[in-house]
Amino acid sequence: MPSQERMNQVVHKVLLVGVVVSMALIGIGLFLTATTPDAGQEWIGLGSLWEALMAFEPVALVELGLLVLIATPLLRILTALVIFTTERDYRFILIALFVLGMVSLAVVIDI
Amino acid sequence: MTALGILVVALVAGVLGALLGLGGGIIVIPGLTLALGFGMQEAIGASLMGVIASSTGAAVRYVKQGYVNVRLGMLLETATTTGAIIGALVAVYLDQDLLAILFSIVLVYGAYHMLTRREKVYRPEELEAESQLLDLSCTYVDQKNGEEVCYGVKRYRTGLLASLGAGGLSGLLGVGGGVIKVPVMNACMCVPMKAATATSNFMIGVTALAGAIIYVRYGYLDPILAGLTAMGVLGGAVVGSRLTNVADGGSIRIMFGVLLLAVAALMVLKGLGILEVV
Repeated sequence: MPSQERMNQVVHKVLLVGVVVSMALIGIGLFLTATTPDAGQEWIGLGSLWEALMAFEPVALVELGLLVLIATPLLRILTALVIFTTERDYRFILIALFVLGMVSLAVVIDI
Repeated sequence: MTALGILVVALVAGVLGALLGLGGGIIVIPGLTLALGFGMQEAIGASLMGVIASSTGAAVRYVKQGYVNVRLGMLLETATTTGAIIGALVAVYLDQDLLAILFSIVLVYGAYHMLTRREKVYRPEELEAESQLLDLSCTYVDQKNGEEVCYGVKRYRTGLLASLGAGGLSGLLGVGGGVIKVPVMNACMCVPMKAATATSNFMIGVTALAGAIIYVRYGYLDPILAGLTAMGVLGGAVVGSRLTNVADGGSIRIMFGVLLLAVAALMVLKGLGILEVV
């Protein structure tokens, strides 16, 4: 089935790039945290992450790596969604949108 | 040197996880809480990051080899993500000691699974697809003998229900939930073992992600702890997957099953406050 093969190839690339980039960021960040005297070790809120990155705070690099790691499976759903759309596979478009909806719910839900 | 301790725990979890087909959470959590004295919620948050790293790493390989059924995975993910959000929201409000006791139940189930696991092998005529609403049939080539295996998926409603439970477990206790999904996919849904293991691994990234976001938002993710865990587990998994051909699966499984029972007993003692940890 050619559609299955195309899906596998694209998804493979997305996952591979995500893992390599996130591990590189986390690795460099951890190394710098260990070698920089009094480097911060607390979680930086996402609002101030960009500033912390610009200020070369090592822990911000670790956090960015963790965010890339979290984003990798997410990007994989988006990729599948695009492929389902080009194939006009409506049932699976709905399924992919539902999974994305649940992830978005995790971001906003408050109890 | 706490950092070194975390790295050792994560590496061991990654190696054993790859050898035994687990995500590693079942080892990371007792390691971090019993041996290093972290709180349950912190350990679960870090374990989820480790689980995302190792399952994504494994999925890279499985997708390339064609063992993953992407459509089946996405369908079951609708249930695992729902379960993960519910589980994580419950966990952030639960008492640490109660979480430790709940975790010990998972360990006992994991031990049972290790000691008794049976693989259901299907004949080709049993694998034919039933006509149904969704076409989930899939094909892969078995790398061992070069045979092409084509299978249709059955009873996906049972699969969705089991996935809801696996997702809940993942969000609540920081494990991948493969111990539930793999046997159900293999025994109930007629998915061959290789495809079931690969598809389960593929799904864990998205499942753990839904739970991990809740832990981030409630402030239970320590970046250094999570970073060390993610790197250690993935590094260990890379080494472990190279050892699978060298090590004897059967005897490792039995030793590990017994080890899990012992750890379960320690977690209960900790939960009841009888055992003081560092």
